[in-house]
Amino acid sequence: MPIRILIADDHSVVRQGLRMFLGLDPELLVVGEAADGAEAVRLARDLGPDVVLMDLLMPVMDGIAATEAIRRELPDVEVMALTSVLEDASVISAVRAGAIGYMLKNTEADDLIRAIKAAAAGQVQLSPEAAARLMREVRAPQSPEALTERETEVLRLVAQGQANKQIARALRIGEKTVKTHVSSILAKLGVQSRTQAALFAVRLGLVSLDHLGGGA
Amino acid sequence: MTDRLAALFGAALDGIVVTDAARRCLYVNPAVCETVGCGPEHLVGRDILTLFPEPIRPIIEEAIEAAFSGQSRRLISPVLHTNGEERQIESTTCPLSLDGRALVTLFLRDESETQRLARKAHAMAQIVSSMSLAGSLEATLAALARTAAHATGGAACGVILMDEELQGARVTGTYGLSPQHVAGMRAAVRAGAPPPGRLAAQTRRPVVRLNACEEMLADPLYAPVHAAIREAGWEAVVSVPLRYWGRVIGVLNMFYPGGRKPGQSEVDFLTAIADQAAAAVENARLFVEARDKAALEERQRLARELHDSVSQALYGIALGARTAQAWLQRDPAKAAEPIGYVLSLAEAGLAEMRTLIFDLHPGALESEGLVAMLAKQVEAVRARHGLDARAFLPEEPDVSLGVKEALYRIVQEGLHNTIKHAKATRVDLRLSHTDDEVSVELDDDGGGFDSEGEFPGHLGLRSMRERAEHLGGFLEISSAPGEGTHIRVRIPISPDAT
Repeated sequence: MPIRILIADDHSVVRQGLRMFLGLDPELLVVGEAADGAEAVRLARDLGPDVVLMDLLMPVMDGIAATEAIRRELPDVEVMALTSVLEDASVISAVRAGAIGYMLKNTEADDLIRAIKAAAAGQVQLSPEAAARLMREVRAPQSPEALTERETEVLRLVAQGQANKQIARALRIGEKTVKTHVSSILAKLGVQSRTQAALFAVRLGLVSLDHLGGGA
Repeated sequence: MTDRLAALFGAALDGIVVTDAARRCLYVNPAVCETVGCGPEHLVGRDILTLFPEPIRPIIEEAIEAAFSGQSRRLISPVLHTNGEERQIESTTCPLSLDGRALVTLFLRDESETQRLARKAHAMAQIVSSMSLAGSLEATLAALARTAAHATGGAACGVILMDEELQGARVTGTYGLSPQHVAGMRAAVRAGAPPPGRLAAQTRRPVVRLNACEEMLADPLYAPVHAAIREAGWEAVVSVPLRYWGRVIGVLNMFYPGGRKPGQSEVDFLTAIADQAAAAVENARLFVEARDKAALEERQRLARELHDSVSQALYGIALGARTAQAWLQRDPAKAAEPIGYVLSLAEAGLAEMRTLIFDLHPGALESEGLVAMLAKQVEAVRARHGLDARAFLPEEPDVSLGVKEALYRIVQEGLHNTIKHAKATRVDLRLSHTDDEVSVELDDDGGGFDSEGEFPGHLGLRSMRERAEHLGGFLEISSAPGEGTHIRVRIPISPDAT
């Protein structure tokens, strides 16, 4: 089954280009296009995509607010921020809002496809530099609920950049069970995304920064 | 004889002194007593020269001698008040023969109100013009210091803009103060010496210190500036606050050479200059601030435009070219669509760049004209956003460059709103002009908005309205949700503006 993608960008030329380009890969399917954040939230609800490619600067509702709304309402939908300027503040806001990762609009096109597939598999992808920068910004939750031993194990693997399927195999449990654990971890830590949970794992000392899932 | 002189001169408004060949005052009228501040009992019998400050006594002496040989003289000089102040007066000497005695009469006329006002007006005019000429705030303050010194007879002057707490100096401008003095004073203030003029700033009143320099020389806190003060040979310092709307923004310190004692009229004059200067300085500061803000806003707008157009177009081109490359290997027939897309983006990008380059070099409006530049804008909108954008343009209107630029910007802002917020498929631009006014209209078939309430794009509309109103014109909007938007800007053509 192809990965279902929703493109949210206020520039029609970018939407058109992305649709054409992603159409090259039979594993990817663009199911919808949104021209602003509010439309992105609406279409995510209607279409239930696997991944939303989210431009951050958009009229009506910006990409950060839209990311937050989507992650809150539809935790199974991963959001990948797609920005044309690497600006610390907006990248940090995007991750805090629940984006699983971010890509620059000048990134090699093939990397974009790789990143979308990783996001769909729930893999955290952050470069060590980006992670280090984010570590300073993403605050540890206040009085988090204690994780169970199993949840701690799952969190460690999430932080290593493993997909649900890989985690299931490693722990010899079902993929659905992994998903349940992940949702429970996010809820207990009070965070919106696996990326934030992964950063928290670093803070807990479960993994080192160097072992944080590499990639994007 | 005194009685007869009193009967003759007692009621005169001018001061009148009658002196004998030994220069002793035989008679003084009440106006003289008022000018110098003491009664006739202190004046009659005194050497007339003692009414004048030391340095100018030889000139007065010569004028009196000339009068004894029958020549009248007129000169303007300071006269001493018993409180040590000096007052500018006009003296006229003339011979007088009374009861066979050769005498000399001295008429002392206070510098008239009219003359004072004329001098003041002249200095004010100079201050105002120096404000607009000087580039930096420092240069402005230095020009002010120079004008004030010249207008009052001070030897040197420092104008200091202070911070909110009236402690440190933010900016200073000086005239006649040596670099050693300025550096020394700065060092002294850093080390804890009260900055000269602080008292004036704090009390918001002029402060006259007749022995200011002597006092500073006696105070070790001012050691770094001692050498400079001694060398310059100043004595008195008058400090007046610079007040703007009830707030003290700084102080003006005027330094006087030894033997020159500034009078009340001089202090009044300095106070008036200071108030005028405060307003001018504050205006200059606000102007610089506004200019910087406008430049910043313009840069931000350009950055936004670049983001919206060129960087997105380039990303699209990269994606399209990558797609075309992949199809050329797999199924060349399918490469046609992405290549067409790349071409259209490249064309739109070019149109876009032309508009942006215009923004960076507004000279294009002058060389190519408003009509051509508006046509380019509309072309860019058509190419970039796929809107059915049409331009209805007459021949080039005969209006000033300022009006053309305003119209160009208004259209730019209006088209931006249509693209961003209106969800329109069509937009028409109409330029028209009569003998009296020039107008532009923008008409789209988009979603419209409630022009009474909050709506996206209201900032753009405000800036459009401001531009129009700045030129005496106005902006009309008719729009309602679902009914498109019609905007009309009318700017009057004034005959002298073209």
